[in-house]
Amino acid sequence: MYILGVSALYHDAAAALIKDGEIIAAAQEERFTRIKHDSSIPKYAIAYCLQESRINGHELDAVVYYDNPLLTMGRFVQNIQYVGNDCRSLLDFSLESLVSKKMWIHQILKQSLGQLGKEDKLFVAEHHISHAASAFFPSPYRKAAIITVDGVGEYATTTIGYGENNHIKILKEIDYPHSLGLLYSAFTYFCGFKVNSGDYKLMGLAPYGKPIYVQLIKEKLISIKLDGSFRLNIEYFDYQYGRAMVNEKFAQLFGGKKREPESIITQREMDIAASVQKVIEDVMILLAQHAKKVVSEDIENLVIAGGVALNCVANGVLCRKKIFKNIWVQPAAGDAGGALGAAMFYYYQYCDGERIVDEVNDKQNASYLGPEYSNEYIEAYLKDKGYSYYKHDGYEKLYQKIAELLDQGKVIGLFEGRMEYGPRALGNRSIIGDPRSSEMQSKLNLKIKYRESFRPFAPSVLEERAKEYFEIDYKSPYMLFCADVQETRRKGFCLEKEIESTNENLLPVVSKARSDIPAVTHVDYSARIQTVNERDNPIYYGIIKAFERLTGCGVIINTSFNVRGEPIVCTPQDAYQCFMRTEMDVLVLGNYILYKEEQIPMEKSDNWRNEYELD
Amino acid sequence: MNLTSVEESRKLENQKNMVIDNERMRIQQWAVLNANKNIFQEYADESEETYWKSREKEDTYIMMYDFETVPEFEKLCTTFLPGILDKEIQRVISVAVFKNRPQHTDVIKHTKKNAEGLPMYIYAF
Repeated sequence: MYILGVSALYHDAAAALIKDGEIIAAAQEERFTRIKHDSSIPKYAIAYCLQESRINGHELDAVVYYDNPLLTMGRFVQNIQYVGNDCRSLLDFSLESLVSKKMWIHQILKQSLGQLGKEDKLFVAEHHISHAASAFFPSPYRKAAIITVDGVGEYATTTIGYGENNHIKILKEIDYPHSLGLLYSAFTYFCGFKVNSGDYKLMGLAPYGKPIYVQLIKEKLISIKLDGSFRLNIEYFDYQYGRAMVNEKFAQLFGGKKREPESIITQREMDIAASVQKVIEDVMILLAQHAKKVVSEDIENLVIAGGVALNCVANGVLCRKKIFKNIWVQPAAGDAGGALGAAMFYYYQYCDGERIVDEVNDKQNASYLGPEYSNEYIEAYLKDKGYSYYKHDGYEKLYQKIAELLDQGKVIGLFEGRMEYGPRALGNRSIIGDPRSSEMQSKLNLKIKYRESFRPFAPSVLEERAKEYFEIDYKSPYMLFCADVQETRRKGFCLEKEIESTNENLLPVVSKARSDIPAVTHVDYSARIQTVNERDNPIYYGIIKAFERLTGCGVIINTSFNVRGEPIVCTPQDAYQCFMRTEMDVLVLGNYILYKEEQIPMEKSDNWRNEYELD
Repeated sequence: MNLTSVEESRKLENQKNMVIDNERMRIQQWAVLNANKNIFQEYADESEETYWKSREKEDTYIMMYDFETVPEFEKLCTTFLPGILDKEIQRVISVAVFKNRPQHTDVIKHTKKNAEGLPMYIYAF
């Protein structure tokens, strides 16, 4: 039974194809169109999924959309009632899209697919059911509590549910306009970052600040009950009017105007980031405690999805609290993952499909679910273009060569196997480097990624050596949990003094070594960890293992293969272009290695940066 | 695309915008008459032990979504949005929806410009 799941028309459009409950393919549309967070109908992602399974639209057993347009319209009308005479901005912003696209999703998808499966009918699943399904069904567990938290679905913004075998149930919910995701987005906006793509920056900025606004936020903006339920004081927000995220009253709470994008980050933004991060963590802990109480005190497993589940710092705190023995987070926790959840819900719950689990291994295929390109394809491409390259036939030789290059301080674009599904690059579309270098963080940020200097990089560590480097006693294959670097590896570093002495300039602060793996140690000694094992990714594991043999270090830097504002590369062509436009030293495409100094330089121009809107 | 088709395309686009303008105006008038500041749960309420809402119904977890005609669309609204859409707003929205039925020639692209800093998932319906 083939089921296609689709997410679109909000943000991060994606398609996912499953066969008898197993994931065949899944990808975000942005990777094909090269438009970050592309929300269009994902016709390229759909085409890819069908191509991967060699079937046509009419051979699908069902097509499932991840949101219910009718219910969304209900919220829209209620929102109009709420704002009354002030509804002009809201109508200008959303009416056309509502009546011409969202409500006609069945017709629009039919145009794209030709036929909506064998019965030519579209199914729609609720937004948070799609998230809950994406968290539970691919997880390793037979039973689990489920938490979903995002900006907003149709009505719900937060849910607690329960999953057992092939059935999930939502038990409780909190509805719009009260939303943890929107609260976080409001602060993202206020600190001068772009909502959605900039949420990650706010999280990365938090360790530079002190959480001095926590009480203020809890007193004025969010009322939190002991059971984790909450409400926002919407007098301070403007999103319900379709104007901006926050209003003047909100700004006054934090000492004046919002930070302008790209302007200097001050101590205020750092403290705000630290404060809202602490509030999110506090609420997530209460949510997890309450989920355990309402589901069952005996339940050992928790699964999470929704955009807020990408907050790996909060996820790390949840793990350390040990409220649940095991936690599994959907790697595509945002809207892209809704495509997978919608398809899985149809198969398992609607069709009563059999679900087999082993309590250890998930069904996410390590999230390597996108397109891949054979060595034959890559060689033909390189020959056709006349690029200079070296072929390494044996994998061991390739690993050894890459390890040597890393040890020499080279920054390498790594392109192998199937593209990752979800926002994180996990070794198949990654830029890698040596974490022992204290200059590497600034070099990568400023000369290769062209992004803000304060942003941290993540480590990929051999799974069997993770405990030696980090305070972690669980696997983190999807880079969704933060933990601290082991105390024995840390170096004396006083953040407050450093920031004071550099007058809020974060670049020198970042360059100070904080551990023996400084490039992946954030200023609070935390790290966003990816544990790597041979089973999930033998090539990536082989590379880190070779680096370990050469240097004794079982960790490398892993950052996504893109520049600021660009979607992660999908094809060898995307990879070569990104390689040539940046100061990356080496490109590995399958078994082929390319050196920058041997390539014919591209025309010297920075105009290409205008192709990507800054995130 | 020849000149005639460009002109036709512009004409169609203008007609479409006029449709939206018309419905927008009618919805705004309805909103003024039906304004309700209490439609969402209010902020902090010390008398309440919890802000959670229990979820019992499962009928909209997943459903078939299909309509071709105005009566079919209105039946969906009546079934799944009871008490939310009154007859007047339901009729205005039905008209707007059917006047904007996608044509096969429509470009399937979601390009609405985002308002300042607003996440697309709130209002980009």
